[in-house]
Amino acid sequence: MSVIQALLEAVALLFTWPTMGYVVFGVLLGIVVGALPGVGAALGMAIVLPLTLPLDPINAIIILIGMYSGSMYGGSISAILVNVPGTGGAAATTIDGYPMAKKGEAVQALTISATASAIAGLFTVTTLILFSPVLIEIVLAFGSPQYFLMAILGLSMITLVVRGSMIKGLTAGAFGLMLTTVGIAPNSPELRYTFGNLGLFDGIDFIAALIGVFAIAEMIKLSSKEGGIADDRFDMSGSALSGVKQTLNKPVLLLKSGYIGMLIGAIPGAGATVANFFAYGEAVRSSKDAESFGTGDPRGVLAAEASNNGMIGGSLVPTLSFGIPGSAATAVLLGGLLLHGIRPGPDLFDAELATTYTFLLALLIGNVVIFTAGISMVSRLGIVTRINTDYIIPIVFVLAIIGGFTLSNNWIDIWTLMVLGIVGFFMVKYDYSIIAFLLGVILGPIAEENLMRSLQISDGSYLIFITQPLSLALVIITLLVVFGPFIGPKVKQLID
Amino acid sequence: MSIESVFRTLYDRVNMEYGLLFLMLISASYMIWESFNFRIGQAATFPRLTAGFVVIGTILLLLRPILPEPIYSFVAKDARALDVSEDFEEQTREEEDTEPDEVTSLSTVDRPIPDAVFTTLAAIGYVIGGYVAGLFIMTPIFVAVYTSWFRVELWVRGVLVAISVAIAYAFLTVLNVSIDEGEFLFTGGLL
Repeated sequence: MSVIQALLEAVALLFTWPTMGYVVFGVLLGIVVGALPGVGAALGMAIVLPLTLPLDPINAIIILIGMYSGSMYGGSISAILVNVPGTGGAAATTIDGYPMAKKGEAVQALTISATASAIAGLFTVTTLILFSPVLIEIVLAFGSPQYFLMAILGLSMITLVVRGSMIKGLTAGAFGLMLTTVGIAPNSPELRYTFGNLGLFDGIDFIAALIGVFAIAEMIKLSSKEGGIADDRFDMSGSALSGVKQTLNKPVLLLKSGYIGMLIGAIPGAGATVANFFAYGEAVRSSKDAESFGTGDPRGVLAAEASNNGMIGGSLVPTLSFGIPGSAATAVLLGGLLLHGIRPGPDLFDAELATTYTFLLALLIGNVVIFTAGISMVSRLGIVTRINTDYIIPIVFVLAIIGGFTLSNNWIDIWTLMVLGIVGFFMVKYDYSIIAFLLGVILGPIAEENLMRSLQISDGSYLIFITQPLSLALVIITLLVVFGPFIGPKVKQLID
Repeated sequence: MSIESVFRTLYDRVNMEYGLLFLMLISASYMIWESFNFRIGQAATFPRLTAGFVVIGTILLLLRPILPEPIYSFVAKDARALDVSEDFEEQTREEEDTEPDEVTSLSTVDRPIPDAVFTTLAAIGYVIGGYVAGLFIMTPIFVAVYTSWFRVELWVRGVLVAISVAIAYAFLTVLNVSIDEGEFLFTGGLL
């Protein structure tokens, strides 16, 4: 299928009812979950995931993508109004957003956030669409050995960008991979670790794992914090028009921050928080009056918010092409794709190219919805942040547990959800990367299938992973990623 | 000894990270051992590779305090390659991190057990109750118990219970999920 033909098909698919309605619904829902401190994109999407089961795959994924995009903007609402980022991706927004609100410029800050999010999102997704033919060539060059190696590289890279030691991250990832070996083995009829329980024949449901780690673990953590959120309440003062003008008057900062977000988003595991701080740090570094940052400088909000929505396009690249999520929210999105039978990889860039473009165009339209909703509802957005977390937690539990049961009416899913929720709580507490763990759970079956297929091709020889140039390059990059941070300084010392 | 002081002692003395590591180590060791009973040898490759890695990783982490220097750095130190403007990150994290062991009181609502422990127990109770009598009947009970424990205003409790019943009913009727059936009670369905 040609690129133009696929794009036209995607446009025809997207601009129909109810698909367009799902884009709007997803974005608005995302703004709400993003604005609720402690909820955020990944958790919101994980809860909604089972509810998308009756929908057709494209509409279901469009809702999730809309939520992802909307929540990035939504996160800035609580960051600006109550100094608590709704999502990690809005953490840097608090630095200047909250002081702006304190100075009586809450509306201006929220408008800057909406405008910067929408414009950065539009530019980065358009860039992604324009560069997709190059991406297609790269993806189609990958075979089974390379997909297996990409899974290992993705896990290694995640451990490099998250908090905590690398061994913790790698162990968490391997633990996730290990859990997926429960059930019938791929390519052979062997039953593994099922204890004769029929419910375990299909293995551990990765959606139950996602809900457990994001919903149950997060709610247990949130329950130990004070319930009330909005102690400070501001008059929703300031000028919306001035906010739009201020954003448009800084095109270089806007685009630079958006593209920084996009590039960082493409690194597996880096996610919105890293993009957010990177872009903010760059805005401070490149300004002539760096001391004004942190005191309510609109450029701080602009840079932070442009980067987190710019990050979305970037994070979709490894997710759709190699099945390696760039962030926690894309891990849930990947779960959604697999749940609905859409397998990331060459097919999405070949026979299913129109589907891929539909998702990207939905993201593009989603940015228009963010701008429209952000501007038109700016004075009422603060209401969401006044909801007490003690009200949210029991409802999230209900949605998570009943939603988990909906997956296959199987109690094993509920126990999986609970056990992994508790394990996830301790993983977060002790800095074990839950993204690496979830990536292991999601990628396990794909990694094993590609490993076994590669070994079948090579008659059981592991040399297949180093004899082809692309495979060898991936092995070398993985080794550099794992050992680089420790060997690098020593090599530098020797040279000096 | 009061319940609160028991929990405080547990918080001070028990490092749950070791519990987490032992859980991983034991499950990985079992998986390797069990893989030798597989009839098809090929099916054991991936479990052995992954579980083997978990065993090595957990042992290294458990032995962290006694590892010699080069290995200790590799195992224990933060290897983050991306400098995400740590000054800014720390500034915002200070506001985010309010871990239970950092606060003076175990509970934010003056209860004798930590909030996270109660939430976990309540959720486990919800699931066990749901297994026995069905999730539909347990849903409003869970919400009522949870909101009472956290001293939520009475009228809000009522609203949240009503919302939870509406959610459960929607799942039951729209998505056709049999949450009104328990494994021991209401086995034929409550509605």
